[in-house]
Amino acid sequence: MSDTTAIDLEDVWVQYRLRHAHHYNLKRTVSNFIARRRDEPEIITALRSVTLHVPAGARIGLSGPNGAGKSTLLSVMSGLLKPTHGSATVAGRVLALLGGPNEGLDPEQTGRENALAIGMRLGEKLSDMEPRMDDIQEFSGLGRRFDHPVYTYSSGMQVRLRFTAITSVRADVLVVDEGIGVADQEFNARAEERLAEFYGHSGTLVLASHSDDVLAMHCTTEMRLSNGVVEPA
Amino acid sequence: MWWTLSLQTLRSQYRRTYLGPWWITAQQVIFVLGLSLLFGTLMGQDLKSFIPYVTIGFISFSWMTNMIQTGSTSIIANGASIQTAPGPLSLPALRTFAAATIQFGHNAIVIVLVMILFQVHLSPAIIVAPLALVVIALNGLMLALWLGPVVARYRDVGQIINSLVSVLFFFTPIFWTTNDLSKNQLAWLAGWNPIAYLLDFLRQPLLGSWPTAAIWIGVTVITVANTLGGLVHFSHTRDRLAYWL
Repeated sequence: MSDTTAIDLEDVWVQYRLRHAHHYNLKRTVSNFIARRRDEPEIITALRSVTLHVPAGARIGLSGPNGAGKSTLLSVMSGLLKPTHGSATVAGRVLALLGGPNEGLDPEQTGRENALAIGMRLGEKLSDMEPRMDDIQEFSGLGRRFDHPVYTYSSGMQVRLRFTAITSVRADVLVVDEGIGVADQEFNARAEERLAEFYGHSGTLVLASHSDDVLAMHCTTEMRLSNGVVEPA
Repeated sequence: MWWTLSLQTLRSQYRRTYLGPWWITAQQVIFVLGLSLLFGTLMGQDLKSFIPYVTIGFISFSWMTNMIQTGSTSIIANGASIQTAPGPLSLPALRTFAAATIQFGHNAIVIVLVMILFQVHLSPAIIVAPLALVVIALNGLMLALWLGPVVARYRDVGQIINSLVSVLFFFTPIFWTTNDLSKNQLAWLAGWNPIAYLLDFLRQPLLGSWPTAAIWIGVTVITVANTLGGLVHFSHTRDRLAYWL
């Protein structure tokens, strides 16, 4: 991996062993045991021999139909999923905006407490996060609601809190699954400013989206996945 | 970091209640009182010594079983964050261990109060108690490290643990003593129960006596095996955890 490569994937395969309901059927398991049979689990191949060298500062847009392997690829790039075959190396710190809009938020805690917890889970110290709270409160546009419990938030407010808290942490690579452009127009404009700041520090972006407009706005290179394979450009 | 996060989680669990984590403490006081009075009277025990015995036993036992139950489900319970937020995979085990220990910290006040109230005679053996606390905490953490992945992979194991923990209460010397069973056929039960060793390692010094040689040997064997099991199994399975969720 060269100094200028941010993400290096070499012949990456991801395969799941899917066990259906009948694999957990006790009667069938016992009869299989007696008859010395085995129900083999179904093998699902999510990524097939993906090789990618993403240079630092690149802005990659991932597209493809549902089930193409986009989220799996992002999980591999974030270090959340180890490939079943091949190697994945990412240089520097990775931030991931994956899952649903309120993923990782505790509804009983306030926006402030959640923002602190998000930063700490990403490895920041409490003393590093506390001075950023004013900025997070202002940027997210939550105002005094920042100190209200998150269960009182609308889903848009939760998106704003999560995006702001995660991107308040300085990182080298940002991996996003459908997480940009989903709040109101005013916040989307502000989010773009923050992303521009991130690109300015040579940050690498990998963004998966079904929206051509979102991809065109943020990405310089488009990559299409189909059936777990990166299609040739 | 994980300590602060656990404290925050515990607070949020009890938000919108006045007593917060003290609710569990209150429940334990009621249970210990009921248990001590009933079994103390039934078995003709001297309540002055029996109540401290049951209090230390039950509160420590609850800490251990809390660590077993929450530790064994730590990977499943944190499945969403393991799949979506990069971070150390040991965090779920650390957090469940910390939450159980913080809760024990609240409940331990009852132990101190009962010891003062019933004028428990202290001896130099008390110096073993801090070591016993560290050893129990270490065992709880290590157990979560190996049991968390096992339960994530084999979901039936979680059900087995729940069943065992509830019956373990009766087979651990909490409201009876090992002497009560010494001439009975069931005496081997306490001998094969790891929790009984850890429990007595803490309880005996608090009640004024040094832990016996059998307790020292038992606790050493359990801790070494559990620590090796935790570290080896966790490092072997960590890369596959996300696939099991």
